[in-house]
Amino acid sequence: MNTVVKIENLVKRYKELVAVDHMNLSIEQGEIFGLLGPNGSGKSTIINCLLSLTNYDKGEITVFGEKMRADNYSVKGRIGVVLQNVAVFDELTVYENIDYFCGLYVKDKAKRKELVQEAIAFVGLEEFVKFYPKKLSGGLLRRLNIACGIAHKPELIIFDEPTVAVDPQSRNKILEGIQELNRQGATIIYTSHYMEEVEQICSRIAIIDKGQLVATGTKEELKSMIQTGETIRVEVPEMTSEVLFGLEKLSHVLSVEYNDGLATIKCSGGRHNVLHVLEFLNNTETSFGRVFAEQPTLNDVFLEITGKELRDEVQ
Amino acid sequence: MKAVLKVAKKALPSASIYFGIFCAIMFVFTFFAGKDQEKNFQATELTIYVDDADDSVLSRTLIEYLGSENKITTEFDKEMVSEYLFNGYTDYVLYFEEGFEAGFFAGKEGGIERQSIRANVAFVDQKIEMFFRYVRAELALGKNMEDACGAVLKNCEKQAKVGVVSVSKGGIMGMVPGYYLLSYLAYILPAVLIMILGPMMHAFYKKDVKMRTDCGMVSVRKQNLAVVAGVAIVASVVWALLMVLGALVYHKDFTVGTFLCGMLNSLLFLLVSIGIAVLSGVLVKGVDALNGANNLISMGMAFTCGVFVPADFLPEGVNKFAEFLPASWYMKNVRMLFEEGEMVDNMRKFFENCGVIAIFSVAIFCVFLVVVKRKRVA
Repeated sequence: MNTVVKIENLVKRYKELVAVDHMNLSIEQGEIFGLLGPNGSGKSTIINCLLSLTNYDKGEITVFGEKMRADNYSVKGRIGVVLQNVAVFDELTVYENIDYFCGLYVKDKAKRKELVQEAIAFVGLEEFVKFYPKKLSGGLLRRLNIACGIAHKPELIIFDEPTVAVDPQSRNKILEGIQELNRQGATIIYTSHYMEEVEQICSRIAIIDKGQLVATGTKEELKSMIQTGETIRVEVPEMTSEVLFGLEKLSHVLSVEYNDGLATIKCSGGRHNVLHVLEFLNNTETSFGRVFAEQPTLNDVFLEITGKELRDEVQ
Repeated sequence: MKAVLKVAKKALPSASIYFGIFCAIMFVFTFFAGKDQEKNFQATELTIYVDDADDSVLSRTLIEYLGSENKITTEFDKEMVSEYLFNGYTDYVLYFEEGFEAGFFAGKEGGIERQSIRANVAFVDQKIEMFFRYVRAELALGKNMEDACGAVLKNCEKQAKVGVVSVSKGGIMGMVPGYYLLSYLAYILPAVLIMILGPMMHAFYKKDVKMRTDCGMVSVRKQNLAVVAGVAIVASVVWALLMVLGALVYHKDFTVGTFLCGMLNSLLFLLVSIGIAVLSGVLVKGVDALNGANNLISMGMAFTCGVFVPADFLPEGVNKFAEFLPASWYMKNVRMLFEEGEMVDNMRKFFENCGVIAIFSVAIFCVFLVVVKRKRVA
């Protein structure tokens, strides 16, 4: 595998604040690489440094094997950017916007026309080519934003939180589109604070907090880093303290909490945990209702590593 | 570049409304200003009753001279003069006693009696005194009374003609309509340019769009050059349109000299207006806010710098404040261009004012560059 992006020892400070703290990352060709972290964790700053939109204090960034600089246009031509905010001209139509941004990379008019048409078809904006952005819904605007970033068929596409304030239907379309671009050969860097999205589409994930790299790996690798393997929730109307202690003593059970008729049992990575718990409840003649079993999420990973909830940080 | 002009084109409808209203107001105002002045002039024409007992060359010439601008009546009831004056049938009564010319020739005062109860007749007194001074001057050259009076009348006719032309074509300040064209430019140029260039700059220097553009393969220098070229084209078209329109309508009011000086003056002010427009575009957020800022800047500057209300009518404090605004220096030059004799005497002053306007434009562009750079760093 070829390394597309290599970030070594990157440091970026805003006066006293260290936005990126000795960051090391390596992104391989063909990956959908997720940068996951709460707001203000430094994701966008890393992207800005990567695109040479901002200077950094220390470190080195190489893209496609070349040192990334603001005037390295050959490398820039191979990168596409979809920014967090919709970055289009209100004064230009959908077609003109895509044509303008594609024109920053492709000078040949005929080739550009072809690429613009393809981008419009890819995001499904065929019916809206003559519309001005102000006439488009939020979801359609996001699609236009994506079309402007991918029209020149870049090899590396950076999506900086493209689904913020997007309805679920449009969000799914966007995520499907990103996966399709990846299938077509593009390497993707996807930043988000929505762990479900990152989990859904990313082949490798870096978890970032306070400008530091907390953990990196596939979602399976990340989940295996933590003790919590499975969380079982059982509706138990009444539970004695003996039963509670008994549950805690079961093999692979890490902790048991009982609140408002719901027992939450966290297990390590053993097998048949649900079966063992239900068997114990039967043996102790404890009546129970519905049973839910959840595999660990990236939020659990974030919680266990940083001691705080990713969701709480987002809110 | 094409996109720059497309963005500018989007602002054209609102700018053209501005432009159209301005033109309409300018023409209507100019037209009515001229008419009013004529009416005012006729209304102030005085009725003068004359009793010429001397019936000499001097008395007849003076009557003819006064008659060129006033209504002269010789048939009236002498007993009723006081009543006529009181009731306003006449404004001025002039008696020439017998031997008036002979006395004048001998250098004696008197022989003429004047009566009036109105304050607005001082002008007639002045004219009579002026007439006497001219005749004495001609006599001093060795001419006889007939030649002296003939020469004075001839000279006075010339002056009277100049006065009539000026009044019939003049506006509020007695200026020709071309004056209004150039002075209103001080309002219309910043207003229209903020309207067009403001949204343009706003669009191209919007943070997210700028970030995306900077990610492309076009250097920042080339991007800026495209914007500069777009700004130059738009500003040139607006300026040329106004100048051509003005030249077509008011070409009679300009000599080659005033036209060239007016062009230079307006060209420098165009630079200032571009600076104000682009600075507003990057500083003011949102098109609605930009429209508000436009009214504040263009109208405010026009009022304080004597575009709509002559600077002489404004309080001294306002005039002092206006010194810090480029439009006031532009207006000083416009006034100089249209005030008789001013330009010949004050070419140096004209160019000094041009220099001040140029300094203003450089200063505004420097501020613009600093703002853009700070935005980029942020």
